Amino acid sequence: MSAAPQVTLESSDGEKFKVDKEVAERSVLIKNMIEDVGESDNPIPLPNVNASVLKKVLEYCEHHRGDPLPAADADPSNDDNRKRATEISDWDQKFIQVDQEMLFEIILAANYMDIKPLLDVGCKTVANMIKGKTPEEIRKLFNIVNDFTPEEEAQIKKENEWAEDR
Amino acid sequence: MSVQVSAGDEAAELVASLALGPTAQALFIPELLSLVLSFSNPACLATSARVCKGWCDPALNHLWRDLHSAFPLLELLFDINLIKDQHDSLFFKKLAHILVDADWDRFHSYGNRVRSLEFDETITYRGDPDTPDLDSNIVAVLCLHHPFGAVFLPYLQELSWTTRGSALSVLPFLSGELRELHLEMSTQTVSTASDLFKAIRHRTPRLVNFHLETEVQGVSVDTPLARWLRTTENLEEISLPPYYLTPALIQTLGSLPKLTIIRQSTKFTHAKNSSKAPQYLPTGTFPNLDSISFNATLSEARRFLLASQEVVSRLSSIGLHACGRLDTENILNFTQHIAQNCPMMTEIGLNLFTDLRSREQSLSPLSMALLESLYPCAGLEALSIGHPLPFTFQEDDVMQIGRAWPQMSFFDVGPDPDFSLPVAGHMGNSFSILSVFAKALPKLELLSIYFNKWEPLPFTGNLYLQTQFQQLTEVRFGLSPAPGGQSRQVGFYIASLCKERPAIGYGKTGWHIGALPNDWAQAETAWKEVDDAVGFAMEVKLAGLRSL
Repeated sequence: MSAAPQVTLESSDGEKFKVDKEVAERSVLIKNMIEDVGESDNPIPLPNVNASVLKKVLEYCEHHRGDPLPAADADPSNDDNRKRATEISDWDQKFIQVDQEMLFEIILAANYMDIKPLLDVGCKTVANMIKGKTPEEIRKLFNIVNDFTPEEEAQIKKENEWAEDR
Repeated sequence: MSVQVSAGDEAAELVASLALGPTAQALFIPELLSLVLSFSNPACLATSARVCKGWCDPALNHLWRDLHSAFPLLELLFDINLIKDQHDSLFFKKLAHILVDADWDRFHSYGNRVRSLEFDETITYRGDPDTPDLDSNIVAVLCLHHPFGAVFLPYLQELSWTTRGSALSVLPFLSGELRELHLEMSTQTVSTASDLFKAIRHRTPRLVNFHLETEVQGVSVDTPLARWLRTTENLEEISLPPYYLTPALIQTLGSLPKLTIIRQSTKFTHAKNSSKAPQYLPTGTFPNLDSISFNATLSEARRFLLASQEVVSRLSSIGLHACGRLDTENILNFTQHIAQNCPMMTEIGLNLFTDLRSREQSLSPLSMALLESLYPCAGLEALSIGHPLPFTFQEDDVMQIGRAWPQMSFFDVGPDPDFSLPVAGHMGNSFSILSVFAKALPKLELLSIYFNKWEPLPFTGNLYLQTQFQQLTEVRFGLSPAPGGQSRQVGFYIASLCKERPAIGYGKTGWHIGALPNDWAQAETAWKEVDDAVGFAMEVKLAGLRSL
């Protein structure tokens, strides 16, 4: 049996990663690049992802290499995608237990490299961080400046009070 | 359409100018913020809307997208407590003076975000038993003073409306964007129903799916209903109450270019009236019809199929809710007719629960002859048979079924007998037959039969049996007696036959007419235990597989 085909990825800080093509192609961006350019020995540059993040992302792709690929036409406004499951599998949960900086680096990388399941895991994790917090706690958590007047904020609270016990 | 307000351009500039860290960067990209919010619950969305202006619109868009009550909208206009005392008819007059333009602006700023709305006046709002129904008086007043024409929610796509009052109150909620309408109206007069259908002509051009539940007879409203449906050229699916396929409706539905499915709604029982059974579907009509369900006696159904041969030969799915005499010969005549004339069928449903009054005394259980008569439909993937007595399978029967229907994925045959009849112990199935199903029908996704013999328990401690279902996702036990005290073994055995955790279903089907077993409340508890046991065993099993 011949060895599985491999490709080389290059991070923004110049580190090279040699991985199975099947693993790299969990990223739709890379899959399309390989399809466009054809097989080649040149490393594929990923100028938006540094080595430590890329290493983490590839760890995810390696673990999920056999999973069925999500539908390409997954439109977030589509009805089927609207009612979302918020559970995260055990392995993914452990994988995403990183500091906040790294979590958002992974989300940005998953978005750039177009790895939908990883993007979902990251965003679900952020959603879980927000859960049960007050607006002020959320602002503090993410360094967000409050640009509402107290009156505006009170008005929004009043109009959406019905949702608070849901 | 500028409803989905985005923080796009300004945010991008802000990010560029401040060189923010990855946190702020990610949360200022509208798509990523929206994705995060899509995983949040309503309470969390309400909080998120108050974080900052950039978060407000995306959070509110998610929060108000799917409403399960109309009251959050009404509360934007007035205090719901004001209308608790419905005797205060003056209130409706006062309301007109209370509402000012700013109220309507607020109403629209939220209403424009709503894409689906469920309204069920039989459910009280926020658990308050005094919360009034949204009766037609309130709606009439709102319509009267609504400054921008008659449509309240211009972008609404899905509407589910359940009412015991006048169904006309649904009118201002029907937007031109509507794709799905589920209308449940009880205690309606014929004239209200007719008025409604007249009023909505030309108003739902994009409607794809219409579901109607009502006790109003089809013959009394078929003309206005047909006229309205003539204006819904995009309709693909329709569910109608029993005996609604009158000549007028068949003519209209037959001309709809995209109609593929005609279902039967089941909420209200209509008097059996065989003279209202459908006559025939003319040759060349129903260009895209794939599936039809209807009510008739067995002999009428046979005549209907014969007279509709051209249309029926194109169908892949048929459902009959039979009434009248249901003797074995009659049933076989019908199934043989399907087998001979519709060999391409992939889905057959046969509801043989006659109503209690017309049920014959000497009802006999179904036999394999019924299934054998359908074997010529070799591509059958789904079979549902409802009958007041359980079906009993022998090992050889199951193997034979597997050879006849290799594509079978949905097998639902007699899981919920009527316990007002003597359900003799020799009817029903031994639990150990489950492994024979796994061997004979490995492609099953759903298995639903009646089990009543648990001994000897087949679980030997091995979770990794050689023969397993390849894609089973649900086992439905119907009204099977629960395996008291043996829930764990039963659950473990199910897990040993499955690749993924299957759902455990129990209870009567929508077709069931009759009595539940005496101890059903206890049985429900025991079935939950089985479900838990399956879950536990599957976790153990999958963990074991991963560690290999």
